[in-house]
Amino acid sequence: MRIFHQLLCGFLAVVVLFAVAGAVSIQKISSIEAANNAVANDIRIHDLAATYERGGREIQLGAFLYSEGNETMARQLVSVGRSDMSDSRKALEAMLADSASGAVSEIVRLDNLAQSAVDAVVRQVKDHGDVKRLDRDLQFLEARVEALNLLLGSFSDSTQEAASVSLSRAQATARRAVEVTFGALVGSLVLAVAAAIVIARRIAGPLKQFTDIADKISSGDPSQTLTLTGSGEIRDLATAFGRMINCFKVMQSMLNDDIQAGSP
Amino acid sequence: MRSIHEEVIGLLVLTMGPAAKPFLERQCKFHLGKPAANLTKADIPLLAKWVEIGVGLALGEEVGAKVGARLRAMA
Repeated sequence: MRIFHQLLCGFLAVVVLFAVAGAVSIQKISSIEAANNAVANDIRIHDLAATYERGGREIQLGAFLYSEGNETMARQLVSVGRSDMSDSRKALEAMLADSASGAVSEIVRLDNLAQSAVDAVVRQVKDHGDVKRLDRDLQFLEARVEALNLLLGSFSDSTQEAASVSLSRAQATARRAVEVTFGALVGSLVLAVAAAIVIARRIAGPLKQFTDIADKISSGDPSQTLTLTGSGEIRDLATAFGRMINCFKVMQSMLNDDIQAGSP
Repeated sequence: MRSIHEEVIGLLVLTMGPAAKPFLERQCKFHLGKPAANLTKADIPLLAKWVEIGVGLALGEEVGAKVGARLRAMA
């Protein structure tokens, strides 16, 4: 094979190795991006659940303040709490439309119960109703908010667990991508060095032989013969070099004949 | 169409390069008694014999035999 083709094959082998490693790395990066999105999604759900819980606490505290007569603060707390709960519920419903619709509908049911309990407390306070009835409504409210927060807590735990799994998977994928890239780099380096050594030996070996023979011939030893086997450019060079040596020997032989014959 | 002289030189050049022409001139002059330019096919067997000897002396018998055989194949 010609040296040019050998070099080209070596280069192409390195390019192919890099292309394969690149394709694998791109695939891994896509997996990392998907895992990253999953983690971001899980964290968002976790945040929404926490806001939902806080909203529940706020309406519970607001209702209690109503019963204690602090109407201004109570109204503000209930308003903020309802706003937090409403926003969180809408966002959760949008995000979990397919995957966890059962859990969300249960959350919505408890949410509605808690809201109606707040309304009942407010009504009792405004109507100056029975204290026992008010206490009972407050207890109902507390129980419903507790139930809602319990559900949100377990929901939040499960999403946190999912986020942790996604994160571990992303880390493993990233590690694998680094390993593949490093492997490709080392493999390419080894392949390039091996190809360079092989090609350099194929070129340098015959050149050394040519140099040795040329040195011997130039120092007065015309009996040298070239016993070189090879292919491509080296074979062509060996043939031309051998012909040159033969030319030199034939000319010398004719010169010797002339000298012996005494002719000029 | 190439002459016999040119064909023989073309064959010898493959082995001895630029020495082919003076070598052939010498073989023709001393052993065939004629200039190389006047070579004919009938001269080839005798020429092959002397070329084989001459090349054998300069480059070794094995090479001489090979060149002689190629020349004889031209006849």
